[in-house]
Amino acid sequence: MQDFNTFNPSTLTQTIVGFVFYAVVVLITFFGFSTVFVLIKNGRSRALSFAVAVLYLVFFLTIAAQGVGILNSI
Amino acid sequence: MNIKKLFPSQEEDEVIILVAREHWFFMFTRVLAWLIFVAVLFLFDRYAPQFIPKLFEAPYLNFVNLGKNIYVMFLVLGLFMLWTIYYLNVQIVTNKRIVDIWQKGIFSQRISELTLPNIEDVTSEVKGFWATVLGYGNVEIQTAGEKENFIFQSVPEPREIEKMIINQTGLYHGPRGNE
Repeated sequence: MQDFNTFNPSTLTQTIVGFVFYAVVVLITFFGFSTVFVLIKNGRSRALSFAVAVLYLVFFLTIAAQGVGILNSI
Repeated sequence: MNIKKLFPSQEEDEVIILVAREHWFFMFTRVLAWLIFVAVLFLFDRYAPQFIPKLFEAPYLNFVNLGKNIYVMFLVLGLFMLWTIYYLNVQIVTNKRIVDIWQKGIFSQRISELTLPNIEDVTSEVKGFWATVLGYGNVEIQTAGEKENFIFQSVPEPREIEKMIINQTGLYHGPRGNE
């Protein structure tokens, strides 16, 4: 029997959470990629700029992929 | 290392004498502030299960994990932006001019240039406990006319930078300084 006091994720809940998650990811992607662009364009050392940008992108993509995995399990 | 032009108007024969950046201590304080936000995440993981145990049971656990995931994404972006802005803020002394590149934010940059003949006076200032201990301070470059003064803020070794600029100005004006 359904207990209405417990919270059960529904399709609507998944949709809302998914929308919020992807909106945040788009926002972070925008600022992250803008920072990468500005760093590579204006940075003195191309090698250092590339190294830091790649490091950030690896971290970001790993965490975002992990987030997508969690989202799928909701 | 592939070094390119430091500022847009840099000439081919222009020699870079000095590239100064804000003292590392200021980046360190920003990283410390960032670490407080990291600590919040660890404290949440450590204490939240004791006070709100229900949050760590299905089906809420996935939502909590997703929230933490988003938080970590912001943390990583924050550190990346902090370092980028720190790295792109530079003051440059060449054999022809002084350039101040002020990266206010990701989408906001100001470049001011001052040619050596326009320099009237250079003053260095070390003020405060940490500035004295760690050896950073301000270098103010007074300009001829009504131009805004140049200030290198919180740069390491301000006295050395002051001497270097004065020497460079003297070299530019010739041995007698009256050219």
